[in-house]
Amino acid sequence: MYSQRLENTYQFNKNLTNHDIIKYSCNCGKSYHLTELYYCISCLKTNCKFCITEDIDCYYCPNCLEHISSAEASLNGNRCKKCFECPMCFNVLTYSASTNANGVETFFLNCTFCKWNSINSGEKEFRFDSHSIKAKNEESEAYIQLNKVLEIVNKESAELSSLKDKKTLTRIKIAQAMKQFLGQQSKHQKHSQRKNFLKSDEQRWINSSVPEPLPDNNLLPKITPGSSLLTNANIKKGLTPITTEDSDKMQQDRVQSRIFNKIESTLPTNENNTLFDDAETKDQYDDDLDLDQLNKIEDADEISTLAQRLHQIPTQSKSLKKLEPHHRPLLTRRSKRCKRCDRLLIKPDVNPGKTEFKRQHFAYSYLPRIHISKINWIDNDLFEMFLVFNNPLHSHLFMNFPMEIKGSMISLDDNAQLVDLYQNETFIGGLLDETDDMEKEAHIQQLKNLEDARYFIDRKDNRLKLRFIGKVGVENSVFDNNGQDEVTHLIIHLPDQLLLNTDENTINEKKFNSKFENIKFTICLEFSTKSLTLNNNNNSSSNIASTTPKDENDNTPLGSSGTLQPPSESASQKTLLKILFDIPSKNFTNTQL
Amino acid sequence: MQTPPTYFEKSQYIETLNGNKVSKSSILCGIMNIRLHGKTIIKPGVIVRGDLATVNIGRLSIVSENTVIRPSSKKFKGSIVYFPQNIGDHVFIGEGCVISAASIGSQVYIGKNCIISKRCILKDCCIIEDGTILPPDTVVPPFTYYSGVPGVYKEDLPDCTDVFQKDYTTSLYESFLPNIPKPSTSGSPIKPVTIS
Repeated sequence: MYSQRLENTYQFNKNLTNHDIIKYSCNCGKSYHLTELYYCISCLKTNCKFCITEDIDCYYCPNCLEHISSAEASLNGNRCKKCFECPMCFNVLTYSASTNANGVETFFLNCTFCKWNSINSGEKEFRFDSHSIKAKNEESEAYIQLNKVLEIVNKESAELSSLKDKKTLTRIKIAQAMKQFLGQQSKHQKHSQRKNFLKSDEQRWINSSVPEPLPDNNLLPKITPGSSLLTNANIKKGLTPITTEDSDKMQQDRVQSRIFNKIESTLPTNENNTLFDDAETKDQYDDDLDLDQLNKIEDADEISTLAQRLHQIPTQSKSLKKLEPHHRPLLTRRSKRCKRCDRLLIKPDVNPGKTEFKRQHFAYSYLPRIHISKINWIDNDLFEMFLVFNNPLHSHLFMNFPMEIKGSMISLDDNAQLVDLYQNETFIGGLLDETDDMEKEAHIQQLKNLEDARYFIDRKDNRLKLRFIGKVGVENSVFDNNGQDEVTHLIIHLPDQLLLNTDENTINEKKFNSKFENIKFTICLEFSTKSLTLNNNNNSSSNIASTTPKDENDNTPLGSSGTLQPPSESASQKTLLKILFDIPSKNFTNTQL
Repeated sequence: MQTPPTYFEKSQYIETLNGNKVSKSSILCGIMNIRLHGKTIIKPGVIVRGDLATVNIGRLSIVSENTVIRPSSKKFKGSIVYFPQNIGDHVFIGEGCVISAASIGSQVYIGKNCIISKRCILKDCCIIEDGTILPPDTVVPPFTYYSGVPGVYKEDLPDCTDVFQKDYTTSLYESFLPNIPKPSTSGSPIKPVTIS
């Protein structure tokens, strides 16, 4: 499968331009910066955001940092009971007290940033007890409309669940998804619902231990193991889309549940639709069309911005004076599970102030971290690169660069490839020098003796510096097999006469032009905490699991992870990693700019 | 890309026994009340107002150029009371910031030109983007990214932020080396700011 460079998810990674240079491919082919990936130690594979399932562990208020139970959170619409947000600048409001001339103390909300307060705003006094706010919301137009839609959706899903043919199942799923989206339920319901959702696809390979490489997509036909995708039966079974007729009917039901206000009697109305004709003339619902009122506004500063309006879902007022403070939305702590084997990857602490994890399987603390120490041209289209590998683990890490893999050696839009790299096994020391057994020690010594100074630049503690030589342009053989788009072999054509600097610090005066603005290529890497070549039978159990013994009792209520043991052969203990480089040519030390 | 090491003039910095590197052109007022817990870098032009209240700065923290660290205050029974200020480990503070927070947790990243107003509480593992202004009494929870004027919650951070930030500040400290090997890499001297 081709790997693909994708934009990093988090703003934090988008802002740091360096974080676009090296991306690690997830098993599903999507590649992200190392900080966004997880590593499942039972599948020995990486998980990206599409290969995990998330569960909400706890709700908390970002301001008072109070843990809120899910029942209480859903009761208050996922908002904090005590904290308020400024309607103007969305800052947190503070409570203040003022005493008037009569000595009566009044409490009010006050924004420390934009000086908004609940006394001067609006015509009548703002009551900030949660009961009156809730009552006000429930009276509002939008809330009533939403409730009506929700009612219909509920009815629909109840109706549908009585029917049990293939086609309705898809509709149930959509209806349930809508229900889940619109209304809040208890945690228990959600969990059982999740189980139902997963039954057809995920549950299947939980039991069969066939890893699902692709993230779950309901629109894709599902393959049962042992059968081909393209049999007639499978096509029929796999694709049961809902027709437009079905969706139209569902849509219509929801439309009918709502009452639309007449906009203006003079405006042309849809005469075919008899539904709206019997509706009584009411106040305007959409005040965008209320030109009279808009013309009355003298100061443009009195109109609320779009962001301010969207924070006021019940009223969506266009006037600043009508804006009201709202309870602060809650944040969540989420635990994450591997989609392949359902093992817990992340289990956060329920205390919102704490940053420790009960379970943490970040790719960042399992995979070798890679930095480019230097990259420069040595000839036209030929470049050498010095990579620093950092081992985050406490034990030795063995790795090699395979010449042949199952899948693709190159990634989408690669414009370069490696032509020379160390082909033997090598190792990186751990953070602590744990010399646990003699055999390993001897093996490491053996590997050390084999090292070639051409590739090995420096080795110190848990870091290793290697030299790679790459060439711009992908070998022609890639384009020969147009249909078969996978390059499983690495082809090496290294020019015979090649000047290699023995010292990294010698400065090459000569400048070269770069063909591309960004040089993109892929390095495949296999690593394991156990030697990849050495067959030591006596301690076959001392695999990765031994370095993190606490993970043995990782079995969770879902429990099925217990049946999925990592494959017993040591050969499959290794992890294949594809590292995608995307280096701007200005980062080369001797590019002609 | 690996960040190339930055070099500093050895005569311009004071190195303490536990690895603190404090620029001579920084202004530390009330030096008795300032406590650096080791391996902390204080760049030129930084002002630390230890004369107002105690300032604690944890290990492997970096305070960049022209930042002001000033303990927060509150009016209490007619007089102004200053609170002691605590800054945790592995904290990076960018250039030109004003930090008056009551406490800053560990593994926090504060970008350039931020204003952290009085009595703010920054918990562990949070990031404040460049140019953010946090209003007084703001609480920044763990694993969140705050930005804007006023600084509001934008999104979550990846779960491995703490490990990443530890790695980042450690590598910054380790690549901050004395003496200049080549004259070309010397940085331009930064003018110290004086208190008016």
